[in-house]
Amino acid sequence: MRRRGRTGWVGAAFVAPFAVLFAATYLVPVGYAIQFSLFRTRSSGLGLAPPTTHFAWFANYVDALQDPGYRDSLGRVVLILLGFIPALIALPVLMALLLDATRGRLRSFFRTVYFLPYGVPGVIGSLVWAYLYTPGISPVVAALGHAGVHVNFLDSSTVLWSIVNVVTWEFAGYNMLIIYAALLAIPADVIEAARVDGASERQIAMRVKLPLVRPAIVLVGVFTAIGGFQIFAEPLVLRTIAPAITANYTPNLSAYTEAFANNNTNLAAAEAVLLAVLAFVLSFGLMRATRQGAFAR
Amino acid sequence: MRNREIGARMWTRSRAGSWRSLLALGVVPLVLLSACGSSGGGGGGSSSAAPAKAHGSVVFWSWAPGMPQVVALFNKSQSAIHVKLGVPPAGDPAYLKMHAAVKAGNPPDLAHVEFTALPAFQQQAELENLSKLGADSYQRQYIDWTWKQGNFAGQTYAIPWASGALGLYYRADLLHKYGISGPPKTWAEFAADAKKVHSANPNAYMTFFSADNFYAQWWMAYPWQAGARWYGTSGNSWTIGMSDPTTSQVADYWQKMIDAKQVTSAPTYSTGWFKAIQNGNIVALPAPQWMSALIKSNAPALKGKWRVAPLPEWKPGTQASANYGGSSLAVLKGAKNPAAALVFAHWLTTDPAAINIWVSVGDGWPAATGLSKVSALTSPDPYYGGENINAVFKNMDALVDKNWKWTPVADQTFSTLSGHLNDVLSRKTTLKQALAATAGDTVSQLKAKGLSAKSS
Repeated sequence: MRRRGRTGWVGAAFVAPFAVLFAATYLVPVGYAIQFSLFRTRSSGLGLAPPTTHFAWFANYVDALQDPGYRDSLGRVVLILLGFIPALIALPVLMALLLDATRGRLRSFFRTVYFLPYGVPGVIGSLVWAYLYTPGISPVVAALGHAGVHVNFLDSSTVLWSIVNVVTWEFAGYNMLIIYAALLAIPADVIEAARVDGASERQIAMRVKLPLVRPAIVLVGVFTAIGGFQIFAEPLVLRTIAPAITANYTPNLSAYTEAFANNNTNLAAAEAVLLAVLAFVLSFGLMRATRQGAFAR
Repeated sequence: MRNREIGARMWTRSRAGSWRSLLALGVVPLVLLSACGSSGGGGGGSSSAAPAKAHGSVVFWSWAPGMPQVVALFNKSQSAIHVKLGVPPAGDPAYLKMHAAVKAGNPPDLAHVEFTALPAFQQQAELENLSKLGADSYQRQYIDWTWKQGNFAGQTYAIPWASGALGLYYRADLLHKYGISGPPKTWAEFAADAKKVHSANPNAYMTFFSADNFYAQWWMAYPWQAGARWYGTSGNSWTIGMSDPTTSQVADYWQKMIDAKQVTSAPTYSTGWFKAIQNGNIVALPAPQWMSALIKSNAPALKGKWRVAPLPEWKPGTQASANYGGSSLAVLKGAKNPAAALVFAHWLTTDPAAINIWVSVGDGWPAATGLSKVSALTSPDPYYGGENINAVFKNMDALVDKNWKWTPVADQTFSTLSGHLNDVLSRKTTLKQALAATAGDTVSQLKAKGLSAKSS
C-alpha cells in the first residue's frame, strides 16, 4: 500500500509538467471554444439598438450544418483527402523503400532532399507555388504554353488539385521519414533469411518489408487525414491569386472567415468544434478499419 | 494546414511597400486633403467648444501608411494631447481586434474604421456617440456624403477621413498606339475601345474584371455610379435588391465584355495584376485617387504614360461618379479619453499639413472640404504627364451619390459576391444571376444577426 502511494506521487510529478501545459494550452481553449459555441448575439430591426447575447443550446451547430457553404467545405475536404491520402502514403512508401535499398552517401543525400520541403513553413511553400502557378509570371505555365499545353492551375476546376499538390510536396518527406524509421527497425536477420530463401529484392520489399511497416503506414494515414481536415494555410495564401478559392473553401478557412471577417466568433467556435469531432471520428474510424491499429502495438 | 500558421496573412507577400498602402486604404481609401479651409485660422472650435478643452493621452489604432509621421507632427504641434499609435493588421483582422478590445473593456480611444465596416460596429453598439461630444459642429467642414457614412439615426458616430471617388486612369501612349483618339467619354465608347484594344493585341485588355473580394467591392461602384441603390430601409426592416433595371443594365454591359473575353481576370492587387499594369496588358483602370500612389510605386517605369480622365458616363451629359474605398475615425465604446480623441480626429482629417502627408502616400481623397492649402492636391505630377490629376478627382468626388449606405454585413456581401463572380468567370452563371443570388444571401446574413430584412 505504502509503496503504491509513493509510486503514484512520483508518477504524478513526472506527468505534472505535461498535464499543466496540456490543460492550459489544449483543454482550456477547447472548453472555452465549446462554451463560446453555445451562445449567440442577436440584434433586432435595423440594428440601431444594442444587441443581446444569450444561451442558444446547439443553434450555432444547426446553423453551421445548414449553411451550404460550410457543408461544401466539408465535402471539398473529403475530396482533398481522396486525392491526398493515396498520394501522401504511396509516394512516401515508395521513397522510403528506395532509400532503404540505397547504400552509401547517396542515401543521406536523398533523405535530406526528400525531407527538405517539410522544413519550409507552409506559408512560404505556398508563396513559392503561387509564383509557379500564376499565369504571366510562372516559368512553368510559360514553358507549357510554348509546348502547346495551355493550363490554368487556378480556375475552379483545377485549383483543388493545385492545393493537393502543394500539401503533398510539403508532407511527403515527413511521412517518408516515419516509414523509413520503421524500415530501419526491421531486424537484419529477417531480411537475410528472406534473401537466403531466394527472395528477390522486389519480393523482399513487397512481402517482408511492407507488412512489417504496416503500423507506421497506418499512423501516417491517420496523421494525414487529421492534417487534411485542418488544411488552412495553403488555401489562405493561394486565395490572393485564385479567387476560385472562396472564403469558406475549407472548414478551417470557413471558421477563420466567420471569426475574423464576419465577427461571428460563436459560429466560428461551433464550426471549429464540429471539425474537431469529425476529424476525431474519422481518424479512429480509420484505425479501426485497418484493424491492426498503430497504437494497439 | 498547421494551426500555428493561422495568423498568417496573405498580404505579407506584397513585394512593394506600396502594396501595403493599397491595402491600407484598399477598400477604404483614406486620403486626405486639406480640410480646414473653412475654419481657417479658427481651428474649428468656433461652435461648440467642448472638445477644445480636451487633454491627456489618446491611443489611436490605424494601419494607414503615413500615420507615424502624422502622429509625430500632431504631438509636436501642441502639448495638451499626446497620441500613441498602434498599428493593427489591415482590414478585417484589425476589426476583430477592435471588437475584442471593446468586449474586454480595453479599446483604443480612436480607431480607423472603413465606411463599409461602420454599420457592423454600430450594430454591435461598439461606437461612442460623438454628437454628445459636440462633433456635429464640425459637420460643415466635411463633404456631405462622407459625413453621412458615420451618421446613424441622426447621431454622429464617426468622423469621415478619406474616400475614393472613381476617375478613369488610362495609358495615353497605348490608346494612341491602338488607334484610339482619346479617353472614352461614355461606357459605350469604353466598350468599343475594349474591342479595339483586344483585337489589335490579343494580350492586351482595356481593363479587368476579376472575382476576388477587393474586386467585388470595386465592381459595386459601377451600378452605384449608374444610379442603382442596393440597400434601403423600409420601416424597421432592411431592403436588399440587386436586380433593379439599372443594375441589370450594368451587369449586361460587363457580361458582354466577359463573354467576348475583352477583359482580363487577374485578381486585384495580385502579382499578376501588377505585372499586367507594368507590361501594358491593362490599358485603363476606372479607379479612385488613392490608386495613383499604387500605380506610381508599382510601375515606376511608366512615368509620363498614365493620365486621368473623368469616369465614363452612361448617358452623355449625365456625369456621375461612385466610391471605392473610404475610411473614418471612430471612438470605440469604453474609450478612456473620447474628447481628446475627437480633437485629434478632427485635426487629422482637416489640417493641411497632416492631409499633405497622408494624401501623398495614397490614403485616399480627403473627406474634408477646403483643400486649397494642401500642396499634394494642387501640384502637377510628373508621373501623370505633369497634369494635376487631383483636379479631376475633385470634380468626381462632388458627383458621388450622397445616399449610398452600407449594411452591417457589408464585408460578408463582398465575399459572397466574390464567390458568385467566380462562377461568372467560370461560365457557370451570369452576372445578373450572381447579383440576384448575392442579394438573397445578404438578406439571410442580415437575418442571421437577428435583424429584419427582405428583398426589394
